[in-house]
Amino acid sequence: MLRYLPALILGRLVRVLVRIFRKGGGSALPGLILSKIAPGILNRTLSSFRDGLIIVTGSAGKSTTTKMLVAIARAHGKTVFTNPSTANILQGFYSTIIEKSDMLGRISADVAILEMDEGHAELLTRTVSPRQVTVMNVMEDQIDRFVDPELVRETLTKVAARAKSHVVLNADDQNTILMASSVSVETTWFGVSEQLRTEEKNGLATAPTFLPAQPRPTPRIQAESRQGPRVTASDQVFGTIEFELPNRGVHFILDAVAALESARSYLQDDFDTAVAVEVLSSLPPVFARGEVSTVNGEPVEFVLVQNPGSMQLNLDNLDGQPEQVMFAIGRDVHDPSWMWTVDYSNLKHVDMVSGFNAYEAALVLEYNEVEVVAVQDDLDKAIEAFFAMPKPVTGIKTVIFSADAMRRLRRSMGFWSPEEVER
Amino acid sequence: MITLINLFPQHLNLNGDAANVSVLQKRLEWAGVEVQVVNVTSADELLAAQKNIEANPTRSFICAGHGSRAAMRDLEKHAQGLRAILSVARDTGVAGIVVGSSSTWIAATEPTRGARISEFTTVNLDLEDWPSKALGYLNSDIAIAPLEVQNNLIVTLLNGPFFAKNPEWANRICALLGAPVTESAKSKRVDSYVEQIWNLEGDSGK
Repeated sequence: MLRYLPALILGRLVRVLVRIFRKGGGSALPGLILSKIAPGILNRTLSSFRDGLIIVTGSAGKSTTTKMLVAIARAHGKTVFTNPSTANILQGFYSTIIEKSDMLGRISADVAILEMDEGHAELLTRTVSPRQVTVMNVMEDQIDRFVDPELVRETLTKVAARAKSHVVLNADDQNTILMASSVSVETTWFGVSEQLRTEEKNGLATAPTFLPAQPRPTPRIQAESRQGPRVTASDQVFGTIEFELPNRGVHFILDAVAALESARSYLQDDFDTAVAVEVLSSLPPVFARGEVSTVNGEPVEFVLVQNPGSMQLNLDNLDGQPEQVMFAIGRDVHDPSWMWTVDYSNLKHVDMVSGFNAYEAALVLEYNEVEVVAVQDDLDKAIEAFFAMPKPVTGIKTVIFSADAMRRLRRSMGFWSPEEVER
Repeated sequence: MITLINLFPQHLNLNGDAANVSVLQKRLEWAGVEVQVVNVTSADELLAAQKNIEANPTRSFICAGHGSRAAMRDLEKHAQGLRAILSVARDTGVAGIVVGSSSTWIAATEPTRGARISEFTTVNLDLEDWPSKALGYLNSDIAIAPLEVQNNLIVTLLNGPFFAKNPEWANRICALLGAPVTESAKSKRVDSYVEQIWNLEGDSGK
């Protein structure tokens, strides 16, 4: 047990130094260092929980679903080790261990529930077998990195196939339906009704398989309808379930039923619908997933877009025509080509375009007849100018940003680092 | 009227290559030129599009983008028609662009695969009447030149909105279509963004 002590001391020291010299900013550095000098600590830690490891993965919806699942598990009395919503790659897991473990690398919790990036989930599950895997979906995402949606499906199929006791899959994605044949443990499904699916202007944005449609499995839980924030779902065991969500959009409803099914699969007979519904109805959104924060005394909505699917779903679910919009695309978008696959007809104007890819973003917006008022690639200056605008007459300021722009914006505005955003 | 033909845009748009058509459409419209877009989505439409370019080779433009593995498999049933229309386009001097995986329909032999390259790339060329440089994102393992021009057909591995980032190439296509584009306030504005993108991602910006 003592063999990880020096590595953890060094990791914590680096973490303290980073916090001193990069106030408010997170860093992957402590996790990177720990992964180099004590790579075995991750497997040892993740294998140490009595109830095992639960993974939530897929192209989109991981953060919100994980947050909901963790909260439901905790409300049932479980102690949970989880990762902050931005730390879903291996380095992030190491960083989380630095933060959450004692000096011997031990973490006191019943279960580990982790959100995992698709590629990193496959790497990690080569050596640590998860108890349960939830796969949200496969979208056309990070083609510069993942190359092809079919390869993502194959990768996630491997992850799902490594589950020891249960797999939870999306009944409304042909990709996840195809995965089921490779899974040997019990598989249950979540989904949304046809009525809800057709309410989304551009569908649920899953990657087309261009194969004959597979029959839709019967979900154990299915969201049927919504009335404002109130969602009605039908459950094969518990009948009608009603809960409220703080976010707009069917994709968030899908996250909620994924979380309910994942929680039920984990907790089994201990699962209490009333407790789960109460948790869902009182849970604030994950930051930048429909999150409204106060900046300079006024509410601002932050919307994270990470791939064509999430961009499309979020644009389709804007609250009318926001009067003041900032659009910031950062360095994390290596190949901005995907922005040209999105339908921008819901967005009529943008007051400020910024981020490393400001001019790429401005170019696609202008060609899509979205009025661009100003382009400022210096994010700090753009933030200053945007937030200096008088309060909108109607609605609230809206910031649409990629993950890198989000991190920089939060740091620049003195928000606590995303790595500190707890579940 | 100028016809811009987009071949199977639901299949061949993994990286936004179909936007090449909308970029040309906008630039022509901003210059006051009448233009129509034809999206080809079936065998019958493919045949009709081929007849159209044979009848109006100097007023037609054709775009075949890069498709996912699944999309390319699904389009196998149209492979003969796709090879035919792209060959006719190339051989009769129709202006067009063929991107990534679609280049296999116009290659004499099955292209070999090499190491995958994924980065912004500036290509230097020495072709009469064509711009000498082009910028785009290259994400491919197909072992062919990243950009070449076969008659008036651009064959490239640079994905996404090639004409948006390379307005000189867009203007060259417009000239081939008999609509030399005059600058508009809008085109000046977008082209000023392109200058910044070249500064950032082009050879001089790296």
